[in-house]
Amino acid sequence: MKGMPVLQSPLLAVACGNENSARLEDVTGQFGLIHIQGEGALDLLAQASGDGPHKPGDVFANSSGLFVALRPDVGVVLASPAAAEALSSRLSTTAGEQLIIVDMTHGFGLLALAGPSAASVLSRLCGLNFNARAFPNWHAAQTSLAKVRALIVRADTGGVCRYLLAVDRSHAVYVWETLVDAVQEILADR
Amino acid sequence: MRSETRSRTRRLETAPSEVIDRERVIRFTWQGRLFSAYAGDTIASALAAEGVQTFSRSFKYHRRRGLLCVSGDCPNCLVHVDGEPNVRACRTKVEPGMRVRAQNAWPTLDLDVMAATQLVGRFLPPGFYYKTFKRPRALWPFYEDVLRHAAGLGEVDPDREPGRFDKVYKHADVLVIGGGPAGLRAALAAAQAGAGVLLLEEHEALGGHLRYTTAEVHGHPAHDVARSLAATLSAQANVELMLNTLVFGVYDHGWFGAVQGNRLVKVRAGATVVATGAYEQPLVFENNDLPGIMLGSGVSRLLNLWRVLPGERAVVVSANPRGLQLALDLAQAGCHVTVAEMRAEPEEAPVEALRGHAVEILTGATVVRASGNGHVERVTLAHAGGATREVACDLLALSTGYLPANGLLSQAGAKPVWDEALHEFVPAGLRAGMFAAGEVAGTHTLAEVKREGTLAGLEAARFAGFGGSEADREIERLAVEVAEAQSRRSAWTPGPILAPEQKKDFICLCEDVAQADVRQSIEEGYQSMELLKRYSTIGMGPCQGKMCQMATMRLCAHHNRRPIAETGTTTARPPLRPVSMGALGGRLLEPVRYTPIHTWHVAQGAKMMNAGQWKRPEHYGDPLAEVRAVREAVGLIDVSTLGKMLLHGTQVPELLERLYTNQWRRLGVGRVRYGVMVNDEGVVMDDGVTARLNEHRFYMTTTSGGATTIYEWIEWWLQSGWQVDAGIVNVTELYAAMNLAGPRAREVMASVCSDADLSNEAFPYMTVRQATVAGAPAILMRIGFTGELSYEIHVPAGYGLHVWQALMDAGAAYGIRPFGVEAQRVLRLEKGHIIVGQDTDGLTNPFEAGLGWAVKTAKPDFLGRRALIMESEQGISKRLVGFTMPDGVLPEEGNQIVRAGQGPLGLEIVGRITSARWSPTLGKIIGLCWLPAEMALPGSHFTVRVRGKLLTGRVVETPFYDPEEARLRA
Repeated sequence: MKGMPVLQSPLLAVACGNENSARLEDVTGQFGLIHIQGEGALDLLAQASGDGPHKPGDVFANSSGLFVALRPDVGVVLASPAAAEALSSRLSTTAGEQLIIVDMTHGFGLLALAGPSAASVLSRLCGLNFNARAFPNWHAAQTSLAKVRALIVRADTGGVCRYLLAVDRSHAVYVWETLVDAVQEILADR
Repeated sequence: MRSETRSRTRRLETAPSEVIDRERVIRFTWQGRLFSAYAGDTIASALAAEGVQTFSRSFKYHRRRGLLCVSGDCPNCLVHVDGEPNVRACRTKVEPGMRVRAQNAWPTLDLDVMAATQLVGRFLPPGFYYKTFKRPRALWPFYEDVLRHAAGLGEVDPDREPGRFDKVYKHADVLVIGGGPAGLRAALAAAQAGAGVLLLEEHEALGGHLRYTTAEVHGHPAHDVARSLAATLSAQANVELMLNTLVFGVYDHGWFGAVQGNRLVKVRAGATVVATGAYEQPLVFENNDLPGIMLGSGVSRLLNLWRVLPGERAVVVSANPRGLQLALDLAQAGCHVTVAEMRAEPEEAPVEALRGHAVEILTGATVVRASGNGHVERVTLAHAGGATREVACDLLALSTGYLPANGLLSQAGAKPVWDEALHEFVPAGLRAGMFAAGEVAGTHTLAEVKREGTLAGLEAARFAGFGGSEADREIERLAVEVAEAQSRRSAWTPGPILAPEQKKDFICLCEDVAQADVRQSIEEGYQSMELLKRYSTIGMGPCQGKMCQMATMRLCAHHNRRPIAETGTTTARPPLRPVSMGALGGRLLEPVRYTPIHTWHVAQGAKMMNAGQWKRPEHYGDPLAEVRAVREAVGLIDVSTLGKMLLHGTQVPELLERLYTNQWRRLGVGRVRYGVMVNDEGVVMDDGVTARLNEHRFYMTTTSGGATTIYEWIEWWLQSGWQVDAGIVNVTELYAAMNLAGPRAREVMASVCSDADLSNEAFPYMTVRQATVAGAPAILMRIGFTGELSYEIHVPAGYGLHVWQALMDAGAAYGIRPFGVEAQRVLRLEKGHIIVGQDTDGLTNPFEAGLGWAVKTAKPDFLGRRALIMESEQGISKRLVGFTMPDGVLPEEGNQIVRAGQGPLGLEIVGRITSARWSPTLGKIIGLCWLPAEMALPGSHFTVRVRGKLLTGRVVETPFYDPEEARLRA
């Protein structure tokens, strides 16, 4: 009998690109992901975060994590893996029978794409408008990225544009390779 | 036939407007011979500078064709470059070592034997292929072979690397299409109003015709004005410029398709300004396709951008100020020039300037004939009064009128309306948020073009939500000025552009359609523009009507005795210009899915296979040994690809009752049940098991391929007013899953799972437990596809590899082997389990597939119940049954089952093999097949066609293995 295993990222690489243009990083191990579904999901998110988000597409950030509203009845929380586990239990207790709370940490590969050209990289693989007005900081969308389902959260750090990309775990390697290809093209174009 | 030889260079001295770098010389080959070019030269300009006049042969008659438009609009300079056919020589920059050759000519460009078709031209009228090759019918394969070799443009090199293609999405507040004077002004105005602007320009630089005219704008050279305007625009932070980008289509919901080299650009904008300019139009007269006959704008481009003088004795036929300017440019370049001015009273200033260069000007005159041996050598000019005169020349430049480049506007729903004063179509009924400015709207004078551009830019910005009261006032002021100016516009295309019908007076240069062909088509009844196009093929070639539409309309109107306004245009459809299939495909995106245990499989040398997007181990070297390991000891298979759903709520049993065909209300906590889902028509969609984890939480598995479909199916019904307290979360990705199967599975499990009682009494077949496996929280189900004692273990995906390895380590003492999809197929077949999608198809109902036991029509309701009741009342016409092959030959999946009948060889297809394998356990071939009900009784024989031979199969009962289910319940 062995002890509790370590969560393994689906990715084998760690990072590529550079900060001056676009840098891609595997941040799977840095976040847990809690899925909240049902009538009142956004109210529960607001209650847990202390404020927002209030409408689909909003992201509310505090020291506990990122609280993301996806649909009127669906939200997610991105938090550190340890915090996610505790938060998941707390939310389940609070939610009662009306909501489904699932710790989906193991179901996603999480990538961070940052830098001044990050939006240009995404625009090669996704039809969304990443213009700062249309997709500002602390905004999120569920979309198709390189033909697979993805959750994109804009979470800038230090004034640098940064996108968190949550993709199905099984697609993570494919999305990583596709993004690396696009990042390298951007670097070559520059 | 004239053979072209290299003459002295036609390159002129340097000029500020030129785009070549004379310090950098590039070598390339044309028809196998070495040529030189300057950096910045196109293939066309480099060859023209070296005196090359014939660039291609025409499509039908293989006539010589030379440069015409020099802007990528006509078909005349399509060449073959480094293995790529149909490259426009006038738009493609020369690169070192480039190998360029002519296409559509054999054996050589100078001596093309297919040119002999001209001799039989009168036997090749429009539609001749519809009329000629019908009989005798038996000869059609021969005709087809000959025609296929004779037709077409260029040849695809199958060995050529396909190239790398890309796709990018762009979004803008205001999209400006066209970077000429109108587009530049529009972009600047929109940007200054605060809008984010994307400007797409087809050519390599901004400025439009200002780049290649020597005219002055407010005392400054036009090309300087263009550069200055472009620089101002580039300095705007909210403007993105994309050069060499052709917008080829307008699509639903405001999408625009564009290509930039090998990159597809999909654009969506808040508002759009179309400033695409106009196509200069050729005249129609005898031998109007001879090399040396060019559009005036084409000559201007050669002259001013690449400093190539395409002739020494020029005749310029002019109908507007640009023609006279061109004549002046040619005269200043040292060319002997004669002007045939179609207007009786041209502008005085340029006429005076031309007389200063001793240029002869014939007013009220046009060209009616050209002649020459492989190249224009003389033209016949005719006065309005009828007098004619021959003039020797080696260049004929036609500056006689324009066709608005309104294809995008028309695609977007605008209606081109004939303006009798302008002799042009102008756009009407533009959709909201789309604006037109400049020559595409019938305005040709620069001052008015600029004003229209500014107005359109401001209006577009306002539509997109930018501007303010000051901008509104400016819009009001400009709108009044533009309207007033438009009321004073005069024709730049006065006509006539058609000389009386002669031989070889081509309207359509792409398809070699002459005036007589159009007349004959109309006489045969193809009177409308749309029918005329389809019958004569006019406008269906590479230029897509850009060079012929105006002439065709005029001729059609003339022969139908109707005004042009009633004749109309053909329908504009994307693509506006040919676009490569690679560019349309864009970046190659083929999603691949890997299970959490993928790296282990690869490290063990598994042969991987595609299962939809998934990569799965087909086997690890010896699938039969893997089968034996499962039957005799223990095996482990990665089934992470299964669909997995979490169902939650107080009414999940009610939900399951409606989704599945069998009963679910009494499924207790800790129990697992198999179910079949059918659609409204009673057709089998999917199968799988659902486990009850606690009172309100259920765990469902689906087939690997059905995961997304079933999730969406359930979600759709939940959102469609079923009013059941239940929700679904797709957790396919959350769990890694593996199945431990074989008589020693319990012993292996016991060594990695200590917090569950694994005895058969405590944990029997078709039950579920939540326990810890190798330290990971797990859902354990006593189910399997193999017919052996099995545990399906679902653990969080990030622990999957760890648990797998722990099971393999623990199983080593028991002879464990990993097994792949191939072994699983054999094992399940031995057990008689079907695979939905392989053994079933889009018409299969559960009764036919042997799943009738899982259909409980007595339930109050479920999806497909009504259809299944009807099916059961009608009786079953075919059945999925097990079979063996007494003679030991393995049929292939998909092989036909036949019987004597009316089909080919006297056989009728009555069924098919869906699964067949050699069973190492049973020592014989087993399989599943579809048979008519009357042939499906156990013990019956049937005939199957295997690789052309008719063999006998025998229907047997299933399961083939352990029918008492003693092993899986052990």
